[in-house]
Amino acid sequence: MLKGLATHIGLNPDISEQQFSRFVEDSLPQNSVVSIVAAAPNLIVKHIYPLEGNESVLGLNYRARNDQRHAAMLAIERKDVVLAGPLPLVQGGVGFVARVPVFMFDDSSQETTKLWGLVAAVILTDTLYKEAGLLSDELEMEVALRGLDASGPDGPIFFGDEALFSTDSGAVYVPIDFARGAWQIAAQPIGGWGPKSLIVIWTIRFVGASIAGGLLLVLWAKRRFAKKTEIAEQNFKDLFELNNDAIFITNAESLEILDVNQRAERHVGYDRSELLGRRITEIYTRESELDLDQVVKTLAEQGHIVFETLHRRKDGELVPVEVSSRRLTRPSGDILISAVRNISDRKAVEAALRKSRQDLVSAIESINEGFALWDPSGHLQLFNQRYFDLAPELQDIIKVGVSFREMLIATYGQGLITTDFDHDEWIEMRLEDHKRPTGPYEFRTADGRYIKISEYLTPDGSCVGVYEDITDLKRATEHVHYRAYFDVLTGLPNRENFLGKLTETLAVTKRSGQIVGLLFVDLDRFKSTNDSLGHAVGDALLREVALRLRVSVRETDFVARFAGDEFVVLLRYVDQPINAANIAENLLAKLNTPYVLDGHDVYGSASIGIAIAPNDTVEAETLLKYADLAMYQAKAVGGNAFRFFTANMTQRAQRFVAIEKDLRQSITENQCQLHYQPAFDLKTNLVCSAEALVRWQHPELGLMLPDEFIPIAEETGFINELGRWVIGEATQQSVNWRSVNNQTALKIAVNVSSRQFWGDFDTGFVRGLIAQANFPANRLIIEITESLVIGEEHGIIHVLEELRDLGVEICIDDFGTGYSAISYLKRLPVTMLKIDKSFVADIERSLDDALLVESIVAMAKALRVKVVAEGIETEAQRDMIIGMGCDFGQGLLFGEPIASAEFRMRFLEPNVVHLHDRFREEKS
Amino acid sequence: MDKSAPNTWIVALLIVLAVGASTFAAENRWREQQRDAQQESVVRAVGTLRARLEGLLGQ
Repeated sequence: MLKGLATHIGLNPDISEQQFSRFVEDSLPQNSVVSIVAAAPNLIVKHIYPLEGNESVLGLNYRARNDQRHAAMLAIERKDVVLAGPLPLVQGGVGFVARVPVFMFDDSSQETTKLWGLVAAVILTDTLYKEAGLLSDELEMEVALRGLDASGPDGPIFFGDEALFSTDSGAVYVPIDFARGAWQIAAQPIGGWGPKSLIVIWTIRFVGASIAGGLLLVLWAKRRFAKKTEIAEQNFKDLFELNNDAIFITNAESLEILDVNQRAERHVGYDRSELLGRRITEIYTRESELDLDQVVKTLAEQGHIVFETLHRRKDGELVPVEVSSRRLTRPSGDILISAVRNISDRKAVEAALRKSRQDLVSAIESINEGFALWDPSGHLQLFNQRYFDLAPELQDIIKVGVSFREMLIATYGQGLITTDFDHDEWIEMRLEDHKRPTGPYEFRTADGRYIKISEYLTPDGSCVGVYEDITDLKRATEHVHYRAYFDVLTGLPNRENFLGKLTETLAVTKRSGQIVGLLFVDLDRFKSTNDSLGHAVGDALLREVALRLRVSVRETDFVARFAGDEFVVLLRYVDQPINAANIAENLLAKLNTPYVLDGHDVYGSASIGIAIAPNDTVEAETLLKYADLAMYQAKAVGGNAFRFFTANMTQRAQRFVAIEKDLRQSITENQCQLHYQPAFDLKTNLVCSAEALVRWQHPELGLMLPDEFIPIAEETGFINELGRWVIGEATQQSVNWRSVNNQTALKIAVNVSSRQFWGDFDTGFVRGLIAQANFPANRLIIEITESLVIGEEHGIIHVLEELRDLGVEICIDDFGTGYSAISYLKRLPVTMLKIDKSFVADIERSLDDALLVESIVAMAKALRVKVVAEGIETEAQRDMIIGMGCDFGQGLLFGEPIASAEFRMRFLEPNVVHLHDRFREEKS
Repeated sequence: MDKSAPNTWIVALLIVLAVGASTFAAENRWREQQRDAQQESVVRAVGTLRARLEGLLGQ
């Protein structure tokens, strides 16, 4: 383009500005890197394209610019294009300037002859570099250019790092040639030659190191394995040779011995050389009874077997051995490795153990108790037959190896024990006891037996159980306890039991104030029944009474047999004392109902004393004493009654106690004496008998009459001793009188209390007394009261009959005040009646009494019973009595009770004239 | 004392040397390959650049 412009201007030297611009505009390629084109006629810039922005260039004189004059002159001189730059431009910026001289064309010569000037084209460096790609980011190398002003490889560097042109840079050099000049380009990769990433390098190094390490590791492992193998081989060799067992290695098929250890040599007594190649069966014996075929078969099937047999040594000795043989597979064929152990010692120990166990079994079998040994895991190891016998229902369960829990489950499940615990509770409780036994346990079996279990832990944790059937012991203990606290005859609680219950109840009463009633029940005339009908009937009566008492009270009440015929009833919940009275009344009614005992009709009654707590007292003994006192009060009114304890009973009791104490000394101290009251035969007017009446000269209280102390004597039982003394004294006195006055006909009458019949008063008793005094029985009159025989006539009648048969007169005293039943007179062995003085007293004034007495006399006569009228004080009474046919009379008219000496003087002296005698004489 | 120990150490040393030499050779071979590839790439790029510059300046 530049040369074309030069040619165009050479042909048109006078080119205008417009022509210049149009020519340049038309000539420049569309993508040209030329930025400015200028024309400088005579080396002074006149035209420039584009003008805008380049106005400063107009008028530039190349000759005047040192930096451009040389290139301009060089172009003119060479008449060719000269490239200069890069250089700073006048209008600003840096660029390359290509200049071409313009010579005007001479038409005539057809040559260019005269220099017109220069045309120049400017290429901006940035444009050129950018278009060439030097500034591209995608250029992956460093580039440098040299050859300023197109001076070639020797020119100065004008682009890039000059280091690229150093000799050691290693850069690639390439020339760039263009018209009339050249550049040189140097290039190398960015950052220099060599790999950009070290990953590959380090990967290669790592792989190398890994390979080396791996190989070293393999080498180390191999060496270590070899070392271990060597050690293992040595260990095996040592193990093989030094093993305590004899080891035989044999061929599994042929059973030829392949190898043996030293122990095996010693075991069988053969050298190794003698053993190798022989069949191992040669050292087995027929004595061992070993089935070798079975052994080989088992080894083939299971690969392992342990058995015991006998080996024969080279010297012929038989050795018991245990053989543990195993079949192993080897490349050369299967082998058998057999470890043979001499078990001679073990066999000896086993034999000793068997014997020891047999001894132990014999020992435990010989004991009476059941024995069982449970191992630490709770399984049965040993037991004896006795243990088995204790629970025959479990015979399918009891066996060695059964667990304790299974035993418990079976025991509970079959209902062999009685317990309040449920299944799980009982089993867990027993298991805990079994693990940590703390003491003997007792169980009651369903069939009523008692089993005592004592368990002990052994040092190794086993549990030894000793099982003892303590049924007999238990029942004996229960029986002893029963005997201690219950009355065997009646089954009722006894005195001890009752006292405990009473104390316990009163302790509650002290706190709560609850009213408690105590009924003291004493059977009336029980001894009489006992004596007359026998003890069997007496016992039956007591049992019946106990039964009636028990069924007659409430469940909360407590009935006990206190002693003999004494019972007590503890009413533990009483609202009012009157309730106790109601109960007592009910009891009396029940007890008063006739009994049929052993074919006998027995009439019974009781006396009941009632004491109330806390009203009377809360002390047990005192309450009991009060009830007893009240009972005696009931007894004093004839029995079949109840009485509450009252305060004055205490005073009476105190007096009672004082009198009782002194009374016992009265006989020994000679304080008692007998007074005698005469009875006259109304027909002969002679003293026929003397009634002995006891008097007590108390040292402090003075003379005491029978009414005052006889009841006490009866209550305390002293009446028996007193009665014995009275009869003895009276009969003796009578004997004395007879010896003095020869009074052979005088009879002695003594009163016998009903209590005496309850005591020791019987025929033998009377016979003994009169024999002692040498007194004839037919001169003794026994006076009894009607009440004595009522209800208990049978027993007493028996005694009375015996006395009558002895010749003793039986007289009913105070006749008419009681039942006075004629039937009694008919049945009783009565020989005499003594009409009560109350009838005689009014006989003169009361026709009824007179008729009554007359009837009694008539009745007695009819029954052939003698009659004595008592209490005759007047002659009129005596006459009426005589008129009625009465046999005998007694009373103040005839004489009051007087001492024996006086009696003897007044009535037994031969010359004595009695008052009634005088009266009779006067009347006659 | 383990008689095989010296042999083992020699084998270990030989392994290290052999593997080290192989690794070194492989690394160098890889480096040369990288350089050749770079040179080829640079020459090709410079040729392209040269052609562009000659073309642009020839206008």
